[in-house]
This record gives sequence, C-alpha cells and structure tokens, in this order.
Amino acid sequence: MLISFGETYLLVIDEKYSREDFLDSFKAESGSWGEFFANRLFSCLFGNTTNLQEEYELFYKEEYADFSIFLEKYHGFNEEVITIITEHSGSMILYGNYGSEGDYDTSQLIEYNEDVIESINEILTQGAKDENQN
Amino acid sequence: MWIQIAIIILGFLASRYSNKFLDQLAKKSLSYNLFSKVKSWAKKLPSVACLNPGSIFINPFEPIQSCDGLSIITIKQQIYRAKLPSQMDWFNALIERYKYIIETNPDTQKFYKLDRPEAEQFLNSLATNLHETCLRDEKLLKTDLISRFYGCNFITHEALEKHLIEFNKRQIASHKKTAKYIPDIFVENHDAKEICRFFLYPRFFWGKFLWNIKKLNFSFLNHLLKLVGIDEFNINGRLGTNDEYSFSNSGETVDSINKTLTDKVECLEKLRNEKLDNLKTVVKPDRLELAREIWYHIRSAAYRNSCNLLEIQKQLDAITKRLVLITSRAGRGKTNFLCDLVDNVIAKRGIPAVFFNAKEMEHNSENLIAFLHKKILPITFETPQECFDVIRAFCQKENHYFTIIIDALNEVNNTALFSSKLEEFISDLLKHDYIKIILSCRTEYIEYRFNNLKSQFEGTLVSIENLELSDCDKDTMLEKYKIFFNISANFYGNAYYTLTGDPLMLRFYCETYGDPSCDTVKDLGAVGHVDKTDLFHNYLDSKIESIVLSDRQGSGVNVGFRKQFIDALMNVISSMIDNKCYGNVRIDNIDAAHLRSINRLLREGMLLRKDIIKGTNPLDDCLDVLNFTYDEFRDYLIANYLIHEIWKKDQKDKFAEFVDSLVETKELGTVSESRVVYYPSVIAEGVGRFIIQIAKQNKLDDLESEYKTAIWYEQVRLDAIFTLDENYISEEDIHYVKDSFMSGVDVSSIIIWELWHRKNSEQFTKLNMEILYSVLRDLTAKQYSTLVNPVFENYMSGRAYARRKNHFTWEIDKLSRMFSNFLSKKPKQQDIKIFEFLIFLFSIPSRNYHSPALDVYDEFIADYPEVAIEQLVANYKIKHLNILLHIVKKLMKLKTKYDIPDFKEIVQYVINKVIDVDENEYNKEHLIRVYYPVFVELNELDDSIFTKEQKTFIDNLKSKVVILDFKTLHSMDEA
Repeated sequence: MLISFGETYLLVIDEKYSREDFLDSFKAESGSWGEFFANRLFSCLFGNTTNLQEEYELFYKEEYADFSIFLEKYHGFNEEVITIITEHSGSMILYGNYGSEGDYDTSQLIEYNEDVIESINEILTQGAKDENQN
Repeated sequence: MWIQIAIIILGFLASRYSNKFLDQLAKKSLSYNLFSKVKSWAKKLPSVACLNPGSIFINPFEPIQSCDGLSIITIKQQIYRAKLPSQMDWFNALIERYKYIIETNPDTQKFYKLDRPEAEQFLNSLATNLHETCLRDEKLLKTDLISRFYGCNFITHEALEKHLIEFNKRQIASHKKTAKYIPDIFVENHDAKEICRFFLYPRFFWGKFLWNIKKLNFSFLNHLLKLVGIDEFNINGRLGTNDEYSFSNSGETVDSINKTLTDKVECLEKLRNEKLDNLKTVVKPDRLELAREIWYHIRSAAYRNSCNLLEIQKQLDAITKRLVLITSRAGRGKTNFLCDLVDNVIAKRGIPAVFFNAKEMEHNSENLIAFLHKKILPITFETPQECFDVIRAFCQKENHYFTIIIDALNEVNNTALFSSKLEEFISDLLKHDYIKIILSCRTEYIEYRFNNLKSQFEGTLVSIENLELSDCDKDTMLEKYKIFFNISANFYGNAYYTLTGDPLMLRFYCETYGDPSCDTVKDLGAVGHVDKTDLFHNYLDSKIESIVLSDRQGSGVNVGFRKQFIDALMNVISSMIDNKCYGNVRIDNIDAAHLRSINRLLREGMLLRKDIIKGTNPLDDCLDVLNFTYDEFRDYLIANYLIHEIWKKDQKDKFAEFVDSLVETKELGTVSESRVVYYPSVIAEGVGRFIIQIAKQNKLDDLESEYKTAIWYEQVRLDAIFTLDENYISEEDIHYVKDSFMSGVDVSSIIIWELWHRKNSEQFTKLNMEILYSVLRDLTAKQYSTLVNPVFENYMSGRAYARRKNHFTWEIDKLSRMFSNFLSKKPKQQDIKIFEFLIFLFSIPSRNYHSPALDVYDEFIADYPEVAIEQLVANYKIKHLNILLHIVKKLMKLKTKYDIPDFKEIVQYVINKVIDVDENEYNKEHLIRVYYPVFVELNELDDSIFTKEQKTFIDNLKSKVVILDFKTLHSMDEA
C-alpha cells in the first residue's frame, strides 16, 4: 500500500516483496517501454527508503519506549498515520521522499496525483495477492 | 535470654559468611600474589578484637576455622559490656581494619600503584561481600570503601556515573521548577537533535552512519550515465568499513571516509555543472546527441545525490567534531532543546555528560577548570590532571566521549570578560581527546560578544543555527500548548501564524489566557487575530500578580504592589526615551526606589534581563545595563508611556519631538549631487503601530492629528490596521486598505494574505474577504497582471522566481490543490463561502497554461450548484473581461439545469462591455474571438436574450471571426 502525504510517502508491503513481484503485477512485456517505466517507477518508490521498524530496533529503542512514540516524536507522524502503521505491524513499512534519487519526472507523476497513486496501489495489492496464493 | 540467643545465631551466620567471603576474595578479587602478601601481613597483626564487635573479623584474611559460635559470643559480650552500643560502629572498624592491614605494610605502595581497574575490582568484590554481610547499600559501600583506601581522590566508575545522572537530574528538575523546561509542550527539532546524537554518541551512531551509507541508491543516476557511456557512480563498495568507532583509533578511518565523500560530492557537482557545449569532452561522439537530450536529467540526479551525500557527511562531521554551538533568537527553545537532549538522549543512553547554565560558571570564571571538577566529581583532587585521569579512564572503559553542556552563554553578566575566559577554558578542555562540548547562545550575542569562539574553534565546530520547527511540528506544538495550558481554541489566519511562528509569543499568550493548574478548560472559541495591546496588557498584569502572590505567599495582591512594578518599568522606559536609546539602559540611571522591583523582575526572567557592556571610555569599568527580553513588549510600553505619561499630561511638544525622532536619515548620491532620504527608525514600526492602536482603542482623535503627518505613519499604518481589533477599524481604514492595494505588488500581496486570514466574515465583520473581492472586481486585466498575477504565479517560471523575492507569493497550483482537498472533505455550508475567491483566480494559469482554479470551481459547482450560482451572479460586474467570460460560460452551463436570476440582464451587461471595450486595455480581436461563440450559443439558447442592436453587433462579428479564422488557416497552410 502506498500512502502519500505531500512530498513524502509510506509503503506498507510484505517483507518478501521484490522488484520481480512489482514487474509481474505491472504486466509489461519484456524489453518494452512499459517494463522500462515499471523499473523506473520501482526504483523511484523503493530506492532510498527507510525501513522504519528496522531503524527503531537498531538505533532508537533506548530513547523511545515503543514504536508508535518513535513514529510520533522522531518522524512527526500524526495519529492517523501511526494507526495505519501499527495496524500493519506484520508488514514492512518503508518511508521515502519523492525524488530523493533525482528522478523528478517519475516523482512528479506520482506526487499529488491520486489516480496514479491508486494505480500503484492496485499493482502493489496484486503483488501481495500473488504472494499469498504462492 | 532471647537477646543472647539472637546474638548467638547472628554471630554464627556472620562467621559462616565471613569465611565464604574471604574464600571468594582469594579466588576472584585479587591477583594471587597480592592476596598472599596481604595475608602474610595480616598474620603479623595483633588481635583487634576489643575494637571490633564483629569478632569474626579479627583477622579478615585468615579464616577462623577453629572458631565456634560460643567463643564468638563471649567476645561479643565482652565488647558489649566494655563499650556503649552507640559507639560500636563495627562497619567502620571493619573498614579501618582492612586499611590498617594494607597501610602498615612496607609494600603498601604496591597496592596503591596497582592498575586502577584491578584495584577497583578487588574493592568492588569486597563491597559486594560486605554488603551481603552487613546489608548496607552496595553502591554506597563501594564508594565509601574505595575513598577510604585511596584517600579522598578516588571514585568508582559506577559512582561517577551515578553522580553525573543525579547531577543532571537536579539541573533538569530546577529548569522544570522554574518552567523553563516543560516536557509536555516540547516538540523535537528532528535535524538538530539527530546531529547532536551523532556528536554525543559516535560509537553507537557510527552504526547509523554506515546504515545510511548502505541505504544510498544511485540506480537512476547510473542508468542515465550508462546511456551516455559514462562510468557508473559508486562510493567504493559503500566505503567498505564496519570497524567499531573509538575516539582513540578512529582518526585515519574517518579521514579516509571523509575524503572519499568529499571526492564523490565533487564528482557529482562536476556532472551537475557540466555545460552542454562541453559535453563532447565528457561523452563519446556517438552518444553526444543523446547526452544533450538527457543531460538535464543527469544534472537533476547528480544534484539530488550530492545533497544526499552532503547530508551524510554532516553526520560524519558531527561524529568527529568536538564543539557544537547552538544559536537562535530569544525564546526559540534552546534551553528546552538541551533539557530534552539531557533528559531523553543522554540519560537514557547512559552518555557521560554534565549540563549547567553559563551563569553558574560566572563566579568561577577565574578558574573554570576547578569549577568543572567540582561539578563533575564529588571528590577533590590535588591537581586537575588527576581529575582528567579519572574521566579518561571512565571514557576509555566505555568508549564514550565526556560531554560538557553549557547553556545560555548570553545570560552571563560580564560577557566581555567571560568570553575570553571561556575561550581559554575550551582550548584547555579540547586538549583532552575524550572531551566534547555543547554551547548555546542567543544569535545576537554570538555576533557581538562571543564571536571569538566561532573564529577560534572553526575547524572543530558544528553550528546549529536553526531550531525552527517544520509546519507539521508547529501544529503539534500548538496542540501541546493548548492541552498543557487548558485552552480550547481554534486558531486560524493571522493568529495561527503569529503564535506558531513565535514560540515566545505563544508562551505569552498561553500564560495570559490559560492556566496549567486549572481543572477546567478555557474555551476561547475561534481566534483569527491576536490583539497584542490586549495581550501585553493582560500578560503584564498576570505576571505581576504571580510575582506578588509567590512573594507574599498568597496573601493577596495589593494595588500598591502592582503600581510599584509598573512604576519601575516606566522608569526604565523613561530613561530610554530621555536618552533616545532603546537598549542597554544603565542600571545607575534607574531610581534607587525602583531597584528592588527591577531586581525581582530580573529574577523572573520573562520581562527584563541584565547585561554588562563595556563603557564608552576605555578606562571605564564594565557597566550593568537592562534590556527587555521581547522587543515588541518594550515598544508596547514605550507607546503607552508616550500617550499616558507625556501626551495626556500636556507635554505635547515632547510628544511631537519623540514622534519626529522615529526617523533616520541617510545620504545618497554623489558628492556634488547628494540627497537625504528619510526612513522609519528601528523602533518606529513597533512603537508607531502601538501608538496608532492605543489612540484608536481609546478614541483619542486629537492624538491622531499629532502623528498623521509623521514620515513613518504611512509605512506602519497598514500593519497597525491589520493588527487592530476589528471593533476599532473605521471606514477610513478600509478605504486606506483599498487604496494601498493599487500601490504595487509588494503591498497588494500583503493585503491578499491578510484578508485571506480574515475570511471568517462572522468574526471579521468589517475587514474581510469581501473587501478583497470589491477591490478585485474593479481591477482591469492590466492591473491584474501587475497586482495579482505575480502573487499566484508558479515558481517554475523564471521571471516569477526572480520577482518573488520582493513580495509574498502563493502558487496557484498549491492553492487550488488546497481548495480541492478542502472540498473532498465535504465542508459545512458556512465554510463554503470561501470558494468565491477562486472566481477571481480564473485567469491565472498553472505550469501547463491551464487554469487550475477553473477546474476546482467546476468540482465545487458539481457539489454546491446553488451557492455557485449566487457567487457567479454576484461577480458578473467584474472589470476583468477574461474572468467575466468564464463566469458567463459557467452560468450558461448551469442555465440548462437551474434557474439563473437576472440572466438576461447579465448577458446584456456582458455584451455591452464587449461592445464598449477600451481597446487600450484589451486586444479587441482576441476578445471577439473568444466571446463570439458564447454570444452565438446564448442567442441560440434564447432568441429574445439580446436586443436588436446587440444582434446586429453579433452578426457583424460573425464575418470578422470567420475572416480571422480563414486568415489564420491560410497563413498556417502557407507555412
């Protein structure tokens, strides 16, 4: 699931989710422009992201009594977002910033564009379904 | 009888434990050689049974195998008879006994010269066993034992740790007590705190640094580089180090990583700055064409990745640097930030540090090292080196830096003397490679009084110059303040920006209108505006009341006491006005009668502060001076004094003289042709604004004539109007706002912003968005292009970006998005009025030359058609004919489903406007082309809608439009 807020976003996905899953769900032909675009989209979303749970466990456990306090105080998430994150405690939560790799074309395509975000969510959900079926 | 039996049992147990304990000592604590030696010394000692009620300890290093319970009791009984029980501190005797064994031996020094960790281990073990035996606090016992053995200059690591924790706890508690630190209202500044974490705890955050490096992803950049045949970018296998960080062995590793990062950033900067003309030297000829096409993307990717690397390099910098200097303006939360750092990072992570206020050091400025030792260690040393040895051993054991945190350098009285002493002190400390320092100071003091620190320690300094919160964190802060001070309020518009933008003002506001100790929540309703005259008046009252109540322990506030404080403050203000100097009021200029009140206000710290400055004469001593902590509050008091103490007391000349003095002059031009320019003085903006406001609030019409001709008046009038309570705004003020709008985009942008924040027309009944709409309706397209369009242009436009520095901007894309989001939340009927504003933005294009305001308004029409009709009809007399065209189009569309009041009248008005259009203002050809299809459609919709003359006009247009279209097409074909 992609949750977008302005220039930043959260990806709530299965720990095993991979580039291949994303490309499979995208259903682009091998060697096509679609595949090229899917790759670029994946890099734009998943590159330079922070695994929040890992960050907390490794570096901030001593300071913040629990994960939700860490999300509130360290990352400044509001209650609504914290609820979504804690509801998906079994998933991997990646936190990213659009355009952090410098791919402004792709990031501008996603940022503030609810239709694109919805489509990406369909792709991510499809990937998750396939994962469960396997 | 029972007592005797109890003693027998106790004695027996004690003997058992002592034997066990001595065995343990032999096995674990001391090295074998030392233990044997001590044992042999002990054998030579005489019995000390008579001194020792616990006779089992007659010879502690010699287990008493033959001893049975009875014999022990006998000895104990003898002692009990011989000495009073109160004198039998058997624990002390026991310790003395151990000490005696060691000290009486000629090889004593060997014990003392043992490695401290080894000796410590022995003594710790001894303490553990003694603790089991005599049930005293084990940690206390260790400290006691060790200090007895080593004299007074030894402290265990545990004791040192405990001492530091307790010390810092006390410091934090005192800040909490004086409400300088309120954890409940504190919001973290993410970036500043993160840098401090890396600085304070390099060993641990070295891991985070490497983790951050591993996260870096250059795939997009490398994909582009591959396309143009340039080698891929990487950072040497992610710098290939997982070594543990330590201050003693990290130098080379860090230097090498830092150099790699710097080289890589340079490499990215080179890619970013590469000129298109020069690409042939960078890429192969067969890729040149493609490279030119995509170089823009390579630049963007290189820029973003270099930013990422620089961010990480900052963390490395914090790991290696030894001094952090935190600067910000007054009331921006430096002390809160440091308290939180000590409370939540240092304490929780067990980082050795000591935290205190610079003021505490001031009396010891002659020997700051001695002062520091006293703070750090609970014991005294003969030389500073001994103290540093203890700290070094402690730091080495834990692989920690020892951090000294000194808050509020600006609060020191004698800053001139202190700054040089502090510089020496820091230089001395930094000679010890395990010590780091954090300082905090107000920005202006760093510039004028502690600038030596910046220049002297530039190479090892990390500057944190901004404790500003993000917009999201500001919201959190506001909510926390409301909860803590028991306030319920919906802050919006100017009030929201004033309070979230200035934490000190927020504190003033909440302390004035809220109460943390109250059981009930005070409901302030919707607050769109902070009336500062009212706020400062009430704040002063509440502050004085709390001072008097705390001093008189709740015996009631007497009017006389209040007057004493007011008179004292007025005395300071009077001195400022007499000397035309609004800072650094010499304390010897204050009447002696007011000094007590002044000192009390200084102790409170929120209103006044004391500084020391150097006298003007080089032979003069330093001078004690007073300043107000908050300049706007000073301006409020000056304005009050001028009106109530000067103008009202018939000193009109003095008042006029002061009003004229709020101007400064500057000579411009060449020597032969110079001219003098007058502009408002530094305090004119504040004082002038409060004079206008107080005059209006008190209906002092006579006073208005005194300042209306002043040079500063026009420059502060607009600000005064917008910060005035709505009740005092006059028709003349509204006209002034409307007229000012026309003066230029720098003013029109401010008026748009201010009126936007007064959109609640129920609260702002006079000066609200209706005023803005009435102004906008009367603007021609030409006026729009200079007064309105630049405010909403997107920054991507180069020209707009160049101009936007001089005025406030609000990108149309962002504004439209905000409206769209608001609409998606299904706003209440009373909140949808604001969508009318979009009508006036129909002509402003977004980045893709489309009008986002039109799109959002279409969404609004779909949800609230009746309201939209009302709004569109209300604005059909707008002068901007392009906007009018959109209004008509939308009404035409709505006409198919809804009844539009006065539709015919509107249409006829519109066509007449086009017929009579001023050709100097509009391109008539263009206008006809865009309006013609609308007129035709309207005519088809209702044949009776136009008059005969108007129909003739449309018919004439028909031929013009066709000819125009044909001409265009023809020219296009030819091309």
